[in-house]
Amino acid sequence: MLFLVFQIGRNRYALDSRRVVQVLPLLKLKCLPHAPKGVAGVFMYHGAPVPAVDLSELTLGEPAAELLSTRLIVLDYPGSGDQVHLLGLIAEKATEVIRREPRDFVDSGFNIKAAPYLGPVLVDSRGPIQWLREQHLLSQSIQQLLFGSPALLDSAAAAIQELPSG
Amino acid sequence: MTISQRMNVALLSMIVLMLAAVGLAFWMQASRVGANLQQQRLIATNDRICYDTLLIMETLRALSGDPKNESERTRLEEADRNLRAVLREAQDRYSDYAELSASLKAISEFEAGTAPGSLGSLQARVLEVADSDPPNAAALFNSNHRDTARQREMLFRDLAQQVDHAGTAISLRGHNASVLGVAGILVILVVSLLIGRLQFTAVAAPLLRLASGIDQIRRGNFANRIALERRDEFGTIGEGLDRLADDLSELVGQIQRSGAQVNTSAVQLAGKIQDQQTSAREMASTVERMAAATKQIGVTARELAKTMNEVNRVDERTADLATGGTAAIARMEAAVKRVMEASASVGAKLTALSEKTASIDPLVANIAKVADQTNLLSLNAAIEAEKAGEYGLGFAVVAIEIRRLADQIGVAIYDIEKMVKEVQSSVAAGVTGMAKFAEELGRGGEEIGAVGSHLTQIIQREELLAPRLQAISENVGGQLTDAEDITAGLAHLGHAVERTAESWRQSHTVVDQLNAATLGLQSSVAKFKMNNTPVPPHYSSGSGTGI
Repeated sequence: MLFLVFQIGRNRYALDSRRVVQVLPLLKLKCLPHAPKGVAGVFMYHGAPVPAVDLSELTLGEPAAELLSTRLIVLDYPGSGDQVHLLGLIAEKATEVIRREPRDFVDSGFNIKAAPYLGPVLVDSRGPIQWLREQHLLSQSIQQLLFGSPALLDSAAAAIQELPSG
Repeated sequence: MTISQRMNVALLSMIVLMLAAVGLAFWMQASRVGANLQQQRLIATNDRICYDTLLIMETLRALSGDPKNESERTRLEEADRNLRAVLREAQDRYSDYAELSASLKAISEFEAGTAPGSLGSLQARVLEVADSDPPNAAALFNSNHRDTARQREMLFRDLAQQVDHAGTAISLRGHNASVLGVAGILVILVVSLLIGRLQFTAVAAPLLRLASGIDQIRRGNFANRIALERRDEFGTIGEGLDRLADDLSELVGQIQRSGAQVNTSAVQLAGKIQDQQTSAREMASTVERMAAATKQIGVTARELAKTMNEVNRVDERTADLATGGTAAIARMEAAVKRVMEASASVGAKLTALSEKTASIDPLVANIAKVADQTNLLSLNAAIEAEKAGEYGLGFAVVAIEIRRLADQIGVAIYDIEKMVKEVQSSVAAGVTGMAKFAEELGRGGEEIGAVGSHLTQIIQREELLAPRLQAISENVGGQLTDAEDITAGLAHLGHAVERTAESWRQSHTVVDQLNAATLGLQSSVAKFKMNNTPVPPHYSSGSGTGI
């Protein structure tokens, strides 16, 4: 299995590459007013508005550093029922893929209620890598906000259309 | 009225009052005794009447039995006579008591009357029968004497009652007299007390006022006057004391005023002396400062003389050195100029290097961007290959290789960037260092030039200076002796000032003593209280004329 590796703060995390649609350089985002902490804004992907979540801000409370290595990962986010939504994740140092089997990951032994997205852990020569369960990443209220009202995203998309392309 | 007249009158009135009281007491006693006597006499009269009446009855009884008994007849006549006399006397004496008189009159009628059953008729009938018919006399007496005895008893009872009434009246009169007497004595007592009181107030009140006035004067309070306003001896004494207080008050007032004036003068004198002392002290300190300054001048002049000598010597040597120095400085100037030219060329070269390294920056940035793009591309390729499953395996390997290559390029670029930055910073430091060096050199060259020109000027001036220095040296020597003279003079002046200050201090002590003395005088006079009498004009102008 192929995993996309990135960092949140100083720690490395892995994401199942089958969920990843594409890795993009950091784009200009339309910010959503009154959005909860961690929701960075909306960007256009193939003509459709896609919400983006800053992992660093979501988990640590500080926005990700604006570097070349900080990238926007587009992935399929499983919604209610069979619905699948596109979701952008802003992640630092998203420059590497690794090939490992799921059994190489060991259960961390911790089960933090506030962070259900933290999965088992793998250790390589540079230290531990934790599997990030993307489907548990967003809380119910954020999901409701991002995917519950398409009108919001559409209005944000209209705002993005007006932005000068950069 | 004088005191002695007043005393005499009081004494006489007291004697009269005492005599009156004694007379009253005697009168009281006499009336009481008289009443008693009268009462006793009344009782005795009553007894005599009863006795004589009974005796008449008894002799009649005896005569009725024995009409020839002459002694009984004599006794009867005697008793009859006695009774009449007693009755007449009693009627005369007690005519004031109407009821008693009536009772007595009834008894005398009973004794002398002719009414049937009365003693008179019984006596007349018994004597007549005894003379005419002696054996029937006793029977006549026995048949009639009961009626007579009953009448007699009634009369006696009435008489006894009236006597008792009269006695009570008499004793009441005596009692009234004694009550009157006691009242009179009480009145006399009150009057004598009043006289004593009047006398006391007439004598003691002015005496007390005199005593208090004397006491006030003794305490030194002349504010009050006694002012008795009497025409007797007390009035005279009070007037004398008031006049004495007036005199004393005036005298003390003069003393107080004089004391205050003397004190004011003393205080003013002390103040002036203080001022003069202060100015003397200031003068002394000024002299001291002047002396110190002069001493300083002397020392400075001495040092100046010494310095002048040295300057003379240095001046000679400087002239030699300056001549040598000018040549050396000319050589140094030429050398500095050459160094400056060399450093300018180094600076130009460094600037060129800095510009070239700066042009590397955008190239490096471009390469970095390309590497980033390549990395991104390889990531997406790998992910796509993975999604393609078996078919994408070979492609995935290629993608991973591409990514590795891109990463290596990234690391290399990072190193190059760092190196270029270091070179840039060191070149920049070199450029600024060279600029500073050149600046310093330029300033050094200027200074060297300035030093050269100064040296030339020094040499020129030194030649002019030498004779002047000599003249100054001589002048300084003269000043030194002058300063010493001044110092000595000032020392003398200082001593004189000190002596003056000392004498002022002594006079200050004297004035202090004077001040203390006047203060003592004032405090001893101050205890006298005065009326606010206006100051006579001749006291306000002169000092001490009142004493």
